[in-house]
Amino acid sequence: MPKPADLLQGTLDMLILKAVSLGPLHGYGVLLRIRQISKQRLEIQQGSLYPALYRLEHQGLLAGAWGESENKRRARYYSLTQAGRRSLQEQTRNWNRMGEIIAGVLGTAPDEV
Amino acid sequence: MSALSRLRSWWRAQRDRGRLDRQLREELEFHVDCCAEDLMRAGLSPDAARQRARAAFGNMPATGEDVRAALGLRLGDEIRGDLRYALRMLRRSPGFTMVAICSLGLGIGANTAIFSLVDTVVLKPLPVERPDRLFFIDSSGGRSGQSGPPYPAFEIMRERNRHFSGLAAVSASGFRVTIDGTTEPIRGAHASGQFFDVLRLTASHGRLFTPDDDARIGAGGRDGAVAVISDALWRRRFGADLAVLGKTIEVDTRPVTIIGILPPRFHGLQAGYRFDLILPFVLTSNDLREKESWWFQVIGRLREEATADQAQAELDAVWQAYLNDNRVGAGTRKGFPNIVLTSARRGLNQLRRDFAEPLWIVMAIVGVVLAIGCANVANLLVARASARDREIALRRAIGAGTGRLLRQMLVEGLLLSGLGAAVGLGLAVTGVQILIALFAGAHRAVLLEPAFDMRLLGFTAAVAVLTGLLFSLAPALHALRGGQAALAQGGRGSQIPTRLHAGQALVALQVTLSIVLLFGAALFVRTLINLKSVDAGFTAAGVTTITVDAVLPPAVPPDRPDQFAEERADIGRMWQELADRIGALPGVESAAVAALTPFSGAVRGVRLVIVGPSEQADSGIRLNQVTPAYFDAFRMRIAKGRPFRPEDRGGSARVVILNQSAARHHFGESNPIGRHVRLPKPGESGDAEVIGIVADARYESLRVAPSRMAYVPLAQAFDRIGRATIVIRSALEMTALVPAIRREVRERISGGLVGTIASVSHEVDEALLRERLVSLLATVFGALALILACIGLYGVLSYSVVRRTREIGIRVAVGARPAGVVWLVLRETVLVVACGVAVGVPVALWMARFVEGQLFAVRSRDPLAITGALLSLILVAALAGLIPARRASRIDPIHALRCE
Repeated sequence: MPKPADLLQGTLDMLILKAVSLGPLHGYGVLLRIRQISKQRLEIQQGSLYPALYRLEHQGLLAGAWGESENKRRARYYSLTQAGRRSLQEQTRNWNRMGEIIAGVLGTAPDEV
Repeated sequence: MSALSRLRSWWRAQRDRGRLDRQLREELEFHVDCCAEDLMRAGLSPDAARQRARAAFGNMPATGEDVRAALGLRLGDEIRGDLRYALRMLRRSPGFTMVAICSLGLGIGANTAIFSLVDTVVLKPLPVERPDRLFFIDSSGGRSGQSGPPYPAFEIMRERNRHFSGLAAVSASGFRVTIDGTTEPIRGAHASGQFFDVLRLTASHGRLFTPDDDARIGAGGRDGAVAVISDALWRRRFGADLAVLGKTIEVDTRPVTIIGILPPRFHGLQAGYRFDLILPFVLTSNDLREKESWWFQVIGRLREEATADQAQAELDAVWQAYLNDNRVGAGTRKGFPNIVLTSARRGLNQLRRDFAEPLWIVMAIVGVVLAIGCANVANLLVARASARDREIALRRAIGAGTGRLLRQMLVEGLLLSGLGAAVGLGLAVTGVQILIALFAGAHRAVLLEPAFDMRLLGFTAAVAVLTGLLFSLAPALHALRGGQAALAQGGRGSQIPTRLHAGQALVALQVTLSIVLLFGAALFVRTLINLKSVDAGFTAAGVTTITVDAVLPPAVPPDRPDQFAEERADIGRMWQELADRIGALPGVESAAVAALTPFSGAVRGVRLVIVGPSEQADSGIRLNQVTPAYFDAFRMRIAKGRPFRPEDRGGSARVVILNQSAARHHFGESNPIGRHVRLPKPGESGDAEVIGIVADARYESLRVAPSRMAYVPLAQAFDRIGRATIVIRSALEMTALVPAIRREVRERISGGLVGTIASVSHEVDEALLRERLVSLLATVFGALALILACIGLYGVLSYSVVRRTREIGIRVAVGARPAGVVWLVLRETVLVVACGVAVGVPVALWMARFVEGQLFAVRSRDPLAITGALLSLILVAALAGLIPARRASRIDPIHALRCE
C-alpha cells in the first residue's frame, strides 16, 4: 500500500460528508455529486468509495437506509447524522485553517524572514 | 466518536455476516448498473457499457474485503479462517490430537479439581458484604488468631467499643435436634444478637434473631428461645415449606421456635462445617459467667471511618483493665497477654490451618504434571511442525507475514488447550467428587461444597490460555528459525536436524520434573507408613468410645470447699457404677469411664506439684480421670507399680499414676513409686501417692510426642465431671451392644444422654486424613507424571527412528548387528534420561526442603526415597525406549533405501 493513502483517505471522508450534507445520496450519487461540485476536477476511485461509506456509517457519521432511486430501484441512501454534521464542520474549519497556514508558508517571500 | 455506534454496527455485522455481504453486493450491483446506464446514455452499447462500468469499478471482492476491514471485521474473519484450518489439521491427525487433548485434559482437570479445593478451603472470602471489614478479636495476643475473650470481657467490649458497628460472639456447636419425634444430630452454632448484623445478613424468609432475642441467659428473649435455620436444612428437612416459620423443635431437650431462614449463599464461618441451626448465644450450656474461660470466637465489623489499629488499642485497654480487675493470674496472662485483631475476611481458620499447606503442595504437584503434559504437546507440535516445514515455507513464499504465521500457530495451540480444558473440566467434576469423599469419609466429616462458579471457570480458562501459549512457543520458534530452508531442499529434510535436540531437551525436562514428583511421592508415602507404624501407646483396634452427658446436681456453693471432695466422689461413684454395669454385659471384655480419651480432640491441662524439699511445680502436664479398667481397655502397659483398684475410692488415700514421660521428667532414673504429688485446688488437702507408672500414650496425634500426663481415679476426680466417655473393648459389633448401653446410661446417669459413638481405630485413621490425602495424591500424580514423561520419550524416540530409517538401513546393509542398532537408539534414551536425572536429583533434594514440615521421621534427603524414585523412573524409561529400539532393529535395509 502506498503511504499517501492516509492523506487521501482523510480528504475522501470529508468530501463524502460534504456531498451527503447537501441531501441524502446513494453510493453512485455520492460519486456523481463530488464530480459535479468539484466541477469535474476530482475523480474518486470507485473501489475506495464503499469502504469509506461503510466506515463512516460504522463511526456513526452517516446513517444508511434503503430507499427508492430515480429509476425505481432499491438503493441504499446515506444521510448525515448529527455527529456527522459536527464532524464536517470541524473538518472544514481545520482544513481551512491548515490551508491558510500552508498558503502563508508557501507564499513567504525571501525578504519576509 | 461514538464508541457505542461502532460497537453496535460491529456486533450487527458479527451476528449476521450474510446480511452485510448481501447488502454490499446489492449496493455494488446498483452502482455498476447506474454507471452502465449513464454510459449507455452517452452512446455505448449495453454490453460495452456494462463492461466499462465493471472495469471502472475495479476489483469487487477486494472492495468487500476493504469494507470488512473498515468495520474491524477483518481480524475476526482471519481468525475464523485460522480456526477452521486448525480444526482441519487436528482432524487429519487423530492420533496426535487424542494424545495431546488427553495429556492436557488430565493436567488441566487435575489443576481445576485441586484449585477448587484450594479455593474453597484457603482462598474464598466469606460470602457477605465487605468481608475485608470483618475482624476476629483475639485475646491470645495473636498466637491462635481467633480466641475470643471470656464472655464477661466480651460483654464489656460490646458496650464500650466505638470503632465497631457491632461485635458478636460465635461458637460452633453440635446439636441433638428432635423434629416431629425423630432425633438427629445437626451442626450449627451459638451466636450472639449482633451476629447477623455484623455479617450484614438478612433472612430469605422470616427474620433473623437480634440482641432482643439474646437478652436473658438460659432463656432467650421476648419470644423465648428462638432459632434460625440454614437454607440447606430448610430444603432437606422441611421440604422448603414456609410453614416451618413459627414451628417448635427440640434442641438438646429445649423447645425452640424457628423464626427465620438464612440466605442460601451463607454456609457458616468455615469451609467444611455448615451452620445449619443457629441459636442465640444465651442458650449455650456453657457458663457465661465464667471469668477465665476461653471457648468461643468474637467477630466484629469495623466502622468505615475506623482503622484496625485504633480499634485494637481501644479493645486492648478494656482487656488490660479486665485482667487487672479480676486479678487474673500470671500464668493465664502469659497465654492471653493482649488483644490483637485478625482478619475474618475468610472466616474461621480450623480447616485452613490443617490443610492449607498440604493443599498448596498438591497444587504445586498438579502444576508440575500440567507442565509435563505441556512439554509433551510441545514436543508433538515441534515434530509436526517439522513435517509442515514445506507448507510453512510455501505460505511464507506467497506472502504470509511472520505475525500471520505465528497467529496461525497460536490459534492451533489455543484450540488444543481449549479442547483440553473442556475435557479437563469434565474430569474435574468427577475428581472433585472423589476428593470430597476423601474428606467426608469420616464421621467427623468435612463437608466441602466447592462450586463450579465463575472463579473456577476463570481459573481453568486462564490455565488453558497459559498452557496454550506455552506449548505454542516451541513450534512457533521452530517456524521462525527454520522454514525457508525446507522449500529449497524439496521439503524432505532427511538429515537429523538440530530441532531434535529441542525435543530431547523437553524430554529431559520432563524427566527432571518427574523425578521431583516421584521423590516427593516417596517421601509422603514413607511419612504415612512411618506414622502408621508409630507406637501410639495403646491398642485402638476393638475399642469403642461413647460420650455421655449427665445432668449434675447443683454445685456446692463456693464458700463450702470442704464439701467439694465429697461431691466429686458422689459423681465419680455414679460413673463407676455405669462402668461396672457395662463391663458386666455379655461380650464386653472390659469397660471403663474416662474424662477424656486419645484422639477425641480434648485435653485438660493442670498444675502438679512434686511434694518434697524443692516443691517443684509442673504446669505443662496433662490430666486424665479414669476408672480402674481404663488401662486394661486401652491395653496401656503398666510399666511399674500397680493400676487403680476399686478400693481407690473417694474417702480412701489419694493415689495418682504418672506416665513414663512425667516420671522421667520429675524423677529421672530414681523410683517414683511411693513419692507424693499434689494437684492444688481450693479446699483440697492431702497429697496423692504415686502408685504406678503407665506407658506413654499419644493423645493428640501420632505426630506429636506424648505429653506428660497424670491419671487420677474418677472416684477421686479433680473436676465435676458432667461429660465423660465410656471406653469399651469388645469383639462384638457395637450395634449389638448399643441398646443395652443406652439402657444402662438411662438407668444409672441422671439426665444421661448418649452422644457420639466412635471406633478408636477409626479416629486414629481419621487423624491421618491429611497425610493419607497428600501421599495418595502425590503418588497418583507422580505416576501420571511418569507416564506422561515416558509417552514423551517414546514419541521422541519413535520420531527419531522414523527420521533415521535411511541411515539405519545403510548401517544394517553394511553389516550392523540388530544389537548395535538397538544400542543406537537406546543410547539416545540413556543420554536424555541421564541429563534429566543429573538435573532432577539436586532439584528434587532442594525442593524437598519446602515440604519438610509435612514429613514424619523421614529426612528430606532420604536415600531410600531417592533410590525408589530413580529406579521406577529408569524402569519405565527403559520400557519406553526399548519399543522404538526394537522397531529400529527390524528395519529392512532394502525397504528403507527404496523408501527414499
